[in-house]
Amino acid sequence: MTLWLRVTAPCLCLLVVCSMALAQNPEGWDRYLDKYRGPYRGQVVDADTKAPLAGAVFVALWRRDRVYPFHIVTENYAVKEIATDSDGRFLLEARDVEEGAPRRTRRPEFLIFLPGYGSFPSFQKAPTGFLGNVFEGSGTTVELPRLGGREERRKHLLRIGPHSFSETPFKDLPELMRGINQESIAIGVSPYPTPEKQ
Amino acid sequence: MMRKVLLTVVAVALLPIGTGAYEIPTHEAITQAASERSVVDQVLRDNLGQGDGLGLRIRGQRLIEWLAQGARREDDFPRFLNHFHNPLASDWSQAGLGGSIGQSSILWGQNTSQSAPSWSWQNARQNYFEALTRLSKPDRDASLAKAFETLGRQIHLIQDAASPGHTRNDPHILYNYETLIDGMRTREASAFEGWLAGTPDAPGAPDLGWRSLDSNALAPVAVARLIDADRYGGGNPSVTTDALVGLAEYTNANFFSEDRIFTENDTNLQKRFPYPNRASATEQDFDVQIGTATVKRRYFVKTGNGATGYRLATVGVLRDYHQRFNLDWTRFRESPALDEAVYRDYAARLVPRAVAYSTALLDYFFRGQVIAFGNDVSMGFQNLGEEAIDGTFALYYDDASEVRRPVPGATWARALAPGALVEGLQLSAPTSPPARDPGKYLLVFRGAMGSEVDAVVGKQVTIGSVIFPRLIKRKDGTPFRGYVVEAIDVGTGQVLSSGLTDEEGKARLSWKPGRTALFIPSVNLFPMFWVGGATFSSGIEGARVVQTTDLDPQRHVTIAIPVISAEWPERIEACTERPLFAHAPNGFFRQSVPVGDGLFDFTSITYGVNLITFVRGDNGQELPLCGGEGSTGCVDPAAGFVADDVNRVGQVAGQLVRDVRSNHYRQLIDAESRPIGEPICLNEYEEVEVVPVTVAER
Repeated sequence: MTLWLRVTAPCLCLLVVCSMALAQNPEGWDRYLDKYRGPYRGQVVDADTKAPLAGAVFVALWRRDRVYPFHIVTENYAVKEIATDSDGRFLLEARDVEEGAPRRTRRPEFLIFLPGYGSFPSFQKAPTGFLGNVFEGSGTTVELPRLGGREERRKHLLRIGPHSFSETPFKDLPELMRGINQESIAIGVSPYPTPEKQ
Repeated sequence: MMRKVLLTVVAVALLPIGTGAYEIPTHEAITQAASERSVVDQVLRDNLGQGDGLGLRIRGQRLIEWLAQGARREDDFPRFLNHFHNPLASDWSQAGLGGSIGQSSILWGQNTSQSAPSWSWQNARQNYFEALTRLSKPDRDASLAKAFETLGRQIHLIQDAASPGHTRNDPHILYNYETLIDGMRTREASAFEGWLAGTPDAPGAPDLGWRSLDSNALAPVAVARLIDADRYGGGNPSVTTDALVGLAEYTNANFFSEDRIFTENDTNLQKRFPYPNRASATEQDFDVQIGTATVKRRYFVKTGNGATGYRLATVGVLRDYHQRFNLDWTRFRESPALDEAVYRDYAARLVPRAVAYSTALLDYFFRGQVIAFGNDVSMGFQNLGEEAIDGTFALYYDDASEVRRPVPGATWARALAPGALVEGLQLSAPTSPPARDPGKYLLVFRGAMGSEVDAVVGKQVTIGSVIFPRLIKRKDGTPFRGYVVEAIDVGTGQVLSSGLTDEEGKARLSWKPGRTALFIPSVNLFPMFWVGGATFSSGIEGARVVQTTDLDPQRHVTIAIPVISAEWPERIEACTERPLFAHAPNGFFRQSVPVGDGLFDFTSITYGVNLITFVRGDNGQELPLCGGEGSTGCVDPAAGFVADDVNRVGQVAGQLVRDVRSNHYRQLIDAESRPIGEPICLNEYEEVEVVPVTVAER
């Protein structure tokens, strides 16, 4: 073994170990769950008429950063959904997810989808600005705009990728899939086949 | 060798996190925005007949999701090590992470030996070609999904070139630019959407001239120029504000990454980047919100050497201190940093470019435009693209089981300048097996397009097929001129085409091989579908589905048509020796025959019809021919025939039921028409008779 290897290799190994230790601490922003932040609640209304919208699907997705030697992987940790009631209100209990969540579980991302309407978080008329915690505490009112023609609805639908939320969306998000397929049929796009039909 | 391996291990270990540039959901969002803006959706719908466009569902996912999946998975371990490109490296082989620990993202994107499977540009082309041409539909679908996943991975590499760390050899850790961007995606979606949409100040679209820049032998496909156009050499940062510049060049020259801030004088060549430098910025205070308080924070604002008008970094707090007290600044190491406001300013310029350059890559992939025209007697195709193409054109069709097959003999090697076309090609419409949708083909080009040596273009085309039915009279071969012939789709009953026969009895018709019947409405008194030979059917159900085997080499199909009439026996009246009855409601007959001595044998007959009906023998169907008040003439009994009767020449087809009358009078008369003597006869008849009607051929 050369001198270089005898001296350098142990140093390099030490560096590897150090770097792995460094990788254990990626928190920098308040993106991670620090405590139970649910339940998540709100009301969904028509942006123009302010009438409550029943049957809109509220989806919460928790992602998790897993740290491996040399690499960090962001993966979906949990996903839940609930439909709005006749008053357009929803209340998503998430204690089961958040209290048992492992380290580096991110605070949830949300989607609100209703056929024929622009979805949250990109198309709503309100709320706008910082959306980080709008559904915590007493929640907020979300105003969804009605979409126009078929092409506008088709392009909007293409932005709703259920497989980004779950690899088995029919199992995990049946209400969302029902809504997406309802919208697909309404605008003449092939719906997702249910797993048994695939 | 051992030393290199160890160095690599260490280098990898020192990149614990964050080398994935934009975070995975951000990549997905940028990819989605790019695909919406690109021509992909339109090409899928218009060129490939996929009405759902990017919404087309394959194996449970829409194509746009396959694209996003590629953008997501490109960051899998250890692929992300190959996502760096330093545009100032002496050679692209040294432009990767740490020089050569990882491959330059440009080389990686065109490396067909990445892994198994490989996801290079060339693989995307091969997958797309297979998506167009593989036999079974499931295989084609799998290839199309794979092509889109590969494209997703390709635009991931483009997007990484809009992340400063990836162009400045900076594997960063902890909170960084990408963390901020992803946070904005979920928490300030409106701002993030604004970046995706671009702004008038930062539209970000590259000048199309990138497509025709000289290629680099290490990565010859032109998309390399989207990342590095070799225009910025480290001393000319102003060039990076041109639209004709690689994205990595723009990012490298105008932005800092976390550990490469003002490193223009760094002794480590891997860290030394000439721009931005101190001369590129001036200091300026900004109000910053911290919690509920508003404070002043001093920033370096980019004011020269390329792009300008945004916060480049914060000014380190020690700088104020040593300036105020006139201390020896060399004793203090100031620490400019990148805060959230800086990142926002960066994102407003880099994210729109990430979208625009990703869009440019997708548009480049689907840029080819070819069309086909004509029919199988004389067809052609044309290059509607903006670049010359030189390669193989081939036609494919789908059979009833959606198996895609090459059309025999329909492969042509051609070189076409932009706008050029080829004409006069012949095509034999496939019949074995027949096409599911005759006349519908997929034209596939593979070959050189501009500087790309192995491009692929697909275009769904309709190439009509024509035939020439020739109608002749069976008895003597006389052509029927001026008669209508129609081609009928046996599946839908729709008229595909219609034509009038010329002096040779020929009409030119478009048809669908294996799905067409010939209809001749008026040669006889009744409409006829051709059954083959000289036989005919009254319904399309019995018609012959014309095959190419029915055609002669000139694509003629000769149809000998018996011209049919009705025949029935007539009794002769004994005295006048004329037909006892006639089909003439108010008919008469007059005749004077000289018999000598100035006398004439005069015959006068009047015919009347109460009612004549033709009754078909096979089904009892009745056709009134004449009779009743005001009836002035009779319909030919052959009008009661059907096309099937043509096959029954000489046979009885039905019967006439005649309620008729007549008056037969015969008398000698003189020259002044005066009767001479008693009438020879004066007979009146009225009866209902039944007369058999036979099919005759004229």
